[in-house]
Amino acid sequence: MPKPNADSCHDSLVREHAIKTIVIIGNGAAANSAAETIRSYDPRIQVIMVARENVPEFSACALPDYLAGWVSRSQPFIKKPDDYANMGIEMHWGQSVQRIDPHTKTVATESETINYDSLIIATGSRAAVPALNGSGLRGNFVIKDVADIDAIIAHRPKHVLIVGSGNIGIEVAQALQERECKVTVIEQRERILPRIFDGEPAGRIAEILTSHGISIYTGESVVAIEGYQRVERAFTDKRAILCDTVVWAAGVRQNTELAESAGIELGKLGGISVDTGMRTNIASIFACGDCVESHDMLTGKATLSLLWTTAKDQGRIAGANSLGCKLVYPGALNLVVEDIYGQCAVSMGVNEGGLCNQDLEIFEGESEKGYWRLLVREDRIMGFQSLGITTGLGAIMALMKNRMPLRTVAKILSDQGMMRRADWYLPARPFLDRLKK
Amino acid sequence: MSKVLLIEYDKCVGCKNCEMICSLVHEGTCSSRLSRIRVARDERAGWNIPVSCAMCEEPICVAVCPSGACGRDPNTGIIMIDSARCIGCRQCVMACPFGHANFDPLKKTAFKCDLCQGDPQCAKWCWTGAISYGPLEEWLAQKRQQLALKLHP
Amino acid sequence: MNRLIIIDSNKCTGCGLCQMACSIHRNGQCEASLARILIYRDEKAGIFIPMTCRQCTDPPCAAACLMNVISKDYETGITIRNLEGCISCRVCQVACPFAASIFNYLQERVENCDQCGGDPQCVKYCPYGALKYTDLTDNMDLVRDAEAKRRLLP
Ligand SMILES: Cc1cc2nc3c(=O)[nH]c(=O)nc-3n(C[C@H](O)[C@H](O)[C@H](O)COP(=O)(O)OP(=O)(O)OC[C@H]3O[C@@H](n4cnc5c(N)ncnc54)[C@H](O)[C@@H]3O)c2cc1C
Repeated sequence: MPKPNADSCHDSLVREHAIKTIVIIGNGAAANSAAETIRSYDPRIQVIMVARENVPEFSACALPDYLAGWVSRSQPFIKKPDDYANMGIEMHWGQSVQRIDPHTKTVATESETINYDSLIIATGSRAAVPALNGSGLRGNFVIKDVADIDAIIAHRPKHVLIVGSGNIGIEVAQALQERECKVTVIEQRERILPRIFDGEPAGRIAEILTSHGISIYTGESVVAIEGYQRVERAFTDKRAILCDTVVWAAGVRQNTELAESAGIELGKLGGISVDTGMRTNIASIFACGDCVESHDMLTGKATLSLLWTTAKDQGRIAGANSLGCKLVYPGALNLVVEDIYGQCAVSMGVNEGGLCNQDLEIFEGESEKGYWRLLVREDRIMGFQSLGITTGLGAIMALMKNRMPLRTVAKILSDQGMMRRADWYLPARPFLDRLKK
Repeated sequence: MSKVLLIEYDKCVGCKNCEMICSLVHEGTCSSRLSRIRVARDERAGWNIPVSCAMCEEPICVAVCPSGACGRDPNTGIIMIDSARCIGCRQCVMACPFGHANFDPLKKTAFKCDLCQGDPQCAKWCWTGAISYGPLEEWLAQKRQQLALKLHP
Repeated sequence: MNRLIIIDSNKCTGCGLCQMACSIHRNGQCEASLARILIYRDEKAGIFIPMTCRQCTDPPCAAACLMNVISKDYETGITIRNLEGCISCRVCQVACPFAASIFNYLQERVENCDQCGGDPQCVKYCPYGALKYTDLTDNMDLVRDAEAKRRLLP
């Protein structure tokens, strides 16, 4: 939610007056955040959104909760169909953009051609399904929108195989377990949640999941799926598993084909390459959300963040800059919170793998509430993971954002007067006191 | 950073010229509440004290900023608030021991002295000489000299 | 004029009356963990620091919210939540630097201080004047005056 009159950008003198029409491709978190930002800055600019689907914005993060039956089907939707018109946004439903022409500044869908002054690409991502024997059979599912969940429920799954143990895989596993399915999770890497957690916390999470009856096999990959007309069993490189349903949660692919065909450069990791202002290599074209490759706030390295919060943040920057502002994106800071059977598992910043284990100091601790792990490099917090702990985490997140050297933090905490001024540091004390040597 | 903003209270007459020029150059309007430098005054007791940023070496405003908006500019060494990143939590405002960091009642973000990027207008427009801008060492030498003259007229 | 709950932790004795007032006013029962104000306690050092929502202009909780249910009321300056949409994923709790997003286990929702619609009960019941409900800019003038007086002392 951008604030009104927040910065010089709201001063219309700073912006470019030639910009009258902004076209946004997509209707996800990034696209909507961009549209709302543009509206909050200027009520007169024409904003056109083009989206493939016919439903208003929804949060994919609530899909596992809907699958489990914890929330109703309407809960994931965060906009109503007429919210767009009420905000003065022209919504072109059910149209997929086929072509972008940067020379004439137009985008073409199946049925129409739309002119733009600035274009924002927020085409997001799709679930990756490898071309295996049988991955086309009935009973193979991905989880991306509400209709996917409807389809899974209608399929009445009993024995489910989940491929991939990222945050989506783990959430879906718990949701289907709640639906009284027999759930098996297959992970190619040697531990679950490999991009998010390190070995120790991931092991503890896996323990909780298995104790609730979810089978987890790591270090295995699915090689084929078999069945007559529908999924009946799956083969990994080590075993055969009986199942009637396969859910693919093995990573996502960026929707970059459209951008690529218009001559927009991609980065090394496969996302659309953008600068710190969310601009692509072509003038007047911006990109944000899951489809872009941004940089990590802490390491400065290129990253595909693939998170809701990141998409919103980038949308805000792209929206403002599409008006001619000069906002700078500080980089993606990952934050994942998972509920593991009532225990709160949190990971923020980068994990060991993301830091390539270079000059890393690791501090671990355990209290009666739970386990935590702090990664430090060059006297600054680079990552934090915890299980079962809910207090003091916000302060750690903020210390990570303002990149305070821990030396300074310790100095402030050792002085009563300073400590009272920096009072929000205090809840994080249990983690920071361990750092004293 | 070698140059600092020097304030001599006994020369200040409380005209608030500095507040006017500061808000004018930064916000385009003359208003005390939008000025970086502020003059605290008590007419009855007869004191006027201009308060501006001390440019601390270990600034508490930077330490308490949870969004990374407040920080030292690596090129100029000046402590600045990036209003685009400011979340308006007012922590810097409440933490500053001098009551310097300030809060914009309209934009609802914090702001503080940026030394006009090396050419502070308050010092330029102060006609009483209460505010000046220069190397601290020079100023200290001058003060020592003045004291010496007082002792041995 | 936007008023704010301004905390002077030097005056807090950790009695917890603010928490009781908050909890009973909002939930009808006295329980510190249900209060939207919390007190950081270090009994050994004798430090008690009340903490509550800072009503940020561009709140990190809203930026992090996975359901976009947190927004600003620009008239009052208060951070408001549409609790019906909340799926209590707790991301806002982790995103808030001030530990001010409170999980209400009765309703299974995460809440923050809403200044009781302009009459904060915590301030009303604080016996020691550690909590004040005033305009920040006015408060700043007082701080500056105090600092000025301190500098004038010989
Ligand atoms: C099951 C699930 C759970 C998740 N849980 C979490 C979580 O707990 N925490 C978290 O931070 N993140 C989570 N995520 C990730 C988060 O949802 C995404 O990062 C976020 O939705 C990305 O938003 P986006 O706008 O970039 O892309 P998308 O949401 O993918 O939106 C892309 C939009 O572009 C449109 N589009 C694409 N191509 C075209 C075209 N050619 N023409 C017209 N329109 C087009 C699509 O129709 C769509 O509207 C989860 C994701 C899933 C699937």
